[in-house]
Order: sequence, then structure tokens, then C-alpha cells
Amino acid sequence: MDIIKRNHISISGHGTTPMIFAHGFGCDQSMWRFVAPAFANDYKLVLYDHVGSGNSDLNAYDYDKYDSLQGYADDLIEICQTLDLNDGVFVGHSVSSIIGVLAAIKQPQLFRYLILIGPSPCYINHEAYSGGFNQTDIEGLLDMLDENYLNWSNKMAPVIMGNPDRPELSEELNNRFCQTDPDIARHFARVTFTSDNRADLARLNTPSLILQCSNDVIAPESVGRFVHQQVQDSRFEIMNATGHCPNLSAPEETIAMISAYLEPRMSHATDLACEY
Amino acid sequence: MLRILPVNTETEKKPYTTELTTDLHETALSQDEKRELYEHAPCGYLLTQEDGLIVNSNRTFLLWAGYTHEELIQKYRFQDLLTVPGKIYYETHFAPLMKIQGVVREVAFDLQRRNSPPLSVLVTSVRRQYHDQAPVEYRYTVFDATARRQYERQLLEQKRKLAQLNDEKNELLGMAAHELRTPLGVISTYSEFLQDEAGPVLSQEHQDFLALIRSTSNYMLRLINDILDVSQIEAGKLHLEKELTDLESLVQDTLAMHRQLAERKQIREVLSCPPDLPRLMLDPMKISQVLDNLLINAIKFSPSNTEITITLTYDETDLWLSVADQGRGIPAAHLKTIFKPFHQGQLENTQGEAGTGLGLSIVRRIVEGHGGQVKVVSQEHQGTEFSIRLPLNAG
Repeated sequence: MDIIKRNHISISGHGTTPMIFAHGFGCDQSMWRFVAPAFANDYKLVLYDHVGSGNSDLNAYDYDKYDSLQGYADDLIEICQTLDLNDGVFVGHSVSSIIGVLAAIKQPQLFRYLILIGPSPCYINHEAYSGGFNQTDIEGLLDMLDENYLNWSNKMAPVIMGNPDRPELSEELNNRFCQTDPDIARHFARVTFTSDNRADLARLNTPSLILQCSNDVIAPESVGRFVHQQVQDSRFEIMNATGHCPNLSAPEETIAMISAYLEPRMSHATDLACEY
Repeated sequence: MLRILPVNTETEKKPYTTELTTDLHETALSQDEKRELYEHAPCGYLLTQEDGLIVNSNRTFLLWAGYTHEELIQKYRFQDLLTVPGKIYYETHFAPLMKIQGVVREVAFDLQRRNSPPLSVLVTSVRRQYHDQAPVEYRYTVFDATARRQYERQLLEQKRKLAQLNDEKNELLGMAAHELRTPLGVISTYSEFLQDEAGPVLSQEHQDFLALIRSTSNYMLRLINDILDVSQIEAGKLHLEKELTDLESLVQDTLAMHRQLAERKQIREVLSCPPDLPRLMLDPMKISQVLDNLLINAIKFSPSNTEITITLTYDETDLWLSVADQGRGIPAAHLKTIFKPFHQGQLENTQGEAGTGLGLSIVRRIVEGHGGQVKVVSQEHQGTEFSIRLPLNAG
């Protein structure tokens, strides 16, 4: 199994401590393009695409394996083991926050810190818990995905065939990062939005930073606070950034908050190491 | 109206330029006409900030959304006007796409209107920034796509129904094939038994009858096994049990299996393989099935006293296997369809042996399941070459 190809892993940076970035539902590792370079001097950067997203190997998509987020967490563990990444920093956006949590519970030695951006352990409302959505909303999203992938493939056709009179279209060809196999997108959406990992949070012992966007419809503040309450060693920060993707809409703030959390902790760890 | 004048010499360019300018002035719209075009266009126009806050809208959009200018502008973000699934799609797809590629075309959303049911729209948006310090703005064009999207939903519904029917068909095929296999096995086994045990006391005619029963039931068993394979593959149940495999050994084993048939037709089999051929991860049983299909085809379609060449090569990324015969070739018209199920019925082989017509479609599915590709090149009366590419890192 060629993990590098399967997950389209890219490795860069000048540091030794691994910093692993995992993207959320919908796109791929391009989501980190404004954030990851800021850590290149101090960390070994590892970016990857979940199987079924971006430039991953679609042949490796196994509907049984990826029928729960644990399948993605197992991939993350496998990536770390294959590349010999231990004691690193995991940065997960959206659904990948929970993927990171599951991996850290199973293999705690892999990560020293988790950065959870817009995490939600459960998107669907359950009695006292308000995840933000009901089952009908999720079914509506699946239909919307189908419709848009239908449109997308129609729209992409002339580009693939070559369209010299409309050079601006080539821009889209280069940036098809949100596009994947429609059936896989639908399955990933269903798994993402119907998962319930609330009970797992209390099992996490890895120190974690929770970054909460303002006015985030996908992971509302109440959900972020729930995660903070459940994860014993966690810090909760509300960002000025609005929406669900601060890594794209407010990269400077995202970088600053991650750095502010990591710097004192990492330097403290280094100091301790020197004392010994 | 523009008149295109020939531009052959320097002197001829002047009148063209002058005339163009003059005509443009003559056809230029007044401010009122432009405003009218903008406000009452048959599509909605929106101007928003990067975070989606609406800073301008034409009347068409206001009417669709059910808001006045004062109620909408600087009060709502574009994503606030979407249904819940639309809001999720906006955050997970639309906003990242806009940020990264600066343009998104024809995205299907449902506009949550005030006091009216949602409106099905298609949205195209472009990002603009006039200079580094200028604020980023998003320009939206919103089309009422009610009829088109209704049609597309029907298409999707039909697609789902067809997929479901196809699944049911495969399930039925699989069940029927499975049920038929047992009694056929009995017929085949007992006809063989009769042929062996009672053959000497039977007349030649009765022996021929038994031989016919046996060969026909064997053919039907092969057909049923192929149908089972196809139905399982179609149902997405192609389970590959991959292990590190020496492909040359697999080829040798398959050649040995068919040596008798090849010798009977005086066909030479030549294997060419580099000594350092890397082993690769594949399902040996399934790849044996592929090799078996290709070799048996090559033997069946080759005339006597010819040669079949099996070549194994590799480069940095892939391993290549080809099976070339010197048979009569496949007519060009058939080449496009030979990988489709039940195609082979149209072709007659050199021994009158029946093929199931499913073998090559199974070959293709198995090879593709390994992340590879199968190709065929054929020249009538010269021969056919099937080549298979298998990625070295198939995983």
C-alpha cells in the first residue's frame, strides 16, 4: 500500500516536530495554503487528502472502511506510523478535528497537541444537545450535492476538451479541489453529518486548542463550548473570523492563535528537554 | 451597427477606428437605460463584501427574496438567504472555492424567500479587487432555475431508480446462476462418469451423445460462473485479496494449464520476462483469471502452427503484460465493444469452441479494480495483442 499516493501526502518545512494538517468535508489540503507555510521554519509540515477527496487515490475508497470516522482516523494513524511521525501537532479543520481526536485516543503518543478548528462531535440535534441540524437538513444537503455534482460535470466537460477561446476556464481546471466522485462525496457527507462522537471526547487526554469562529452555522459556539467542556485539557478561543473556514477567510488570525497556543508550550518542552 | 472594414494598409486602418468610435457613441446607453437594464434584468444581481454581507442588489433580486432595499442591504449576508442545506454547502464548498479560485459558476442553491416558498436558483459569482488596498467584492448573478432544476432532479431520480433496478437485476442474475450451478454440476459429473464407465459398451452414436451432453453442460457451467462473476463485480462486490505476488510464476502456471490445448493446435507459447521483474501487490486468484481468459482466447483464435508471445516488462511506475497472437485479428468494428458483456458471440474461433462472451468484460473489471488498464490492438489477418498495465504501487 503506497500511503503517500493514497493520501496524496506532501511533506515540507525545516523543523523536526511534525505538524500534520487535515482538511474538512468538501475540499482538500489546498485549504491550508494560507496557514501551513507560516509554520514551515519550525515544523515538519505534513499535508494530506482524505481518501475520496482532492488528489487522493479514489480506487482506495472503501465504503465499509469509511462508513465511520474511525476509518479516516485509522488512515491518519497509518500515515504517522509510515512516516515515523510521533509527538507532533495535529491541526484538523471541521470533521477532521474529530478524526484527530479519534486517532489521538487510539494512539496517544502520536500527538503532543491537537488544534481543533470548528469541531463538532455531532451535527444533528439530540434532545438537550443542539448540534445545529436535523435529519431533513442533512438529506437536503445530500440532494444539493447530487445536483451540484451533476452541474459540475456538465460544466467541466468543455474545459476537459480544451477551450482555447475561454482561457479563464483553465483556472477552474487547476482548482477542481472541491470536486470528487459524486457517490463518494455523498457518502462522506452522510458519514460526516450523521456521526455522533460526543462520548469519545471525554476519552481524549491530549491537550487541545479549540478555535471557534464567530457566527459559524456548521459548528455553532454552543457546540464548541460542549467540546471544550468534554475535553479535559482544552483551551477554548473564539475568533473574530466568521463562517466555518478561518484557515481561508482569516489565515493571519488562525496562525496567530495557533502560535500563541503552541509557542509557550513547545518552548517549555524544549527547555525541559535541555535541563535533562 | 458596426461595419467591419478591410484593414490591409495603414491608410485603411484610420477610417475603421474612427467609424468604430462614432458607432459606439451612437449606440451608447443613457444612464437611465443602464439603470433600467440593471434593476429589471431577468436575473438577480448582488454585490457583497468578502464575508457575504450584501452591499447592493438589483430590484429583480429584491422581488425574488421578498425584501425592500432598506431591509436587505447591509443587513443580511448572501448565505443568510439560503436554506439550511444551502448554508452548509456555502460554507463547505462555495466560500472555499471563491476564496481560492475567485470564480464559481452555476451552483445550485435554494433561496429562502420571505413569505414565499424557496426559489431554486443557479448562482455564478466572481471575486474582484481593483488594487491591493481595495476591499474585495463578490459579484453574484442569480438565475431563476426552477424548471431546469426540477428537470435535473427528475433526471437524478431516474438515475437512482435505474441504479436500483440494475442492482436488482444483478442480484437476480446472481441468484439464478447460483441455483443453476448445482444441477448442472450433477449433469456434467454424471455424463463424465457414464462416458468413462459405460463408454465401451455404448454405440458410437450414444458415446457422441454423451460427449455432447458433457461439453454443453461444461460450457453452461463456465457461462454461469462468468455470469456470477459479472453480477458480483457489477454489484460492487469485487473483493480483492492482495498479496505480494510473482507475476511470472502466475503466467507460467497458466501456461502450463493450457499447454495441452496449445500443443494440440501446434501453437508455440513464448514467454519473455526480465530477470528482475519486481513482485507486486495483487490478488493472485483474480489475476490468474485474467491471464486464463487472455491465454485461452489467444489459443482459441490462433490457427495451427502459429506463435503466442507473452511479454512482461516494467518501468518506474507500472508493470506491463501483453499477450500477442498471430490469429486472424478482430475486425475494427468489434474492437470498441469487445470489453462489453456478451460480445464474443459474434466471433467464431478456430475450433468451434464456444466462449461465454463475458471473459473480457471480467478481465477489464479485475484489471481496473487493481488500478490498471487493459488495451487491445488488432490487425485483421495479422493478429491481436492485449496489453495490461498494473501500477507497481497498487497498494
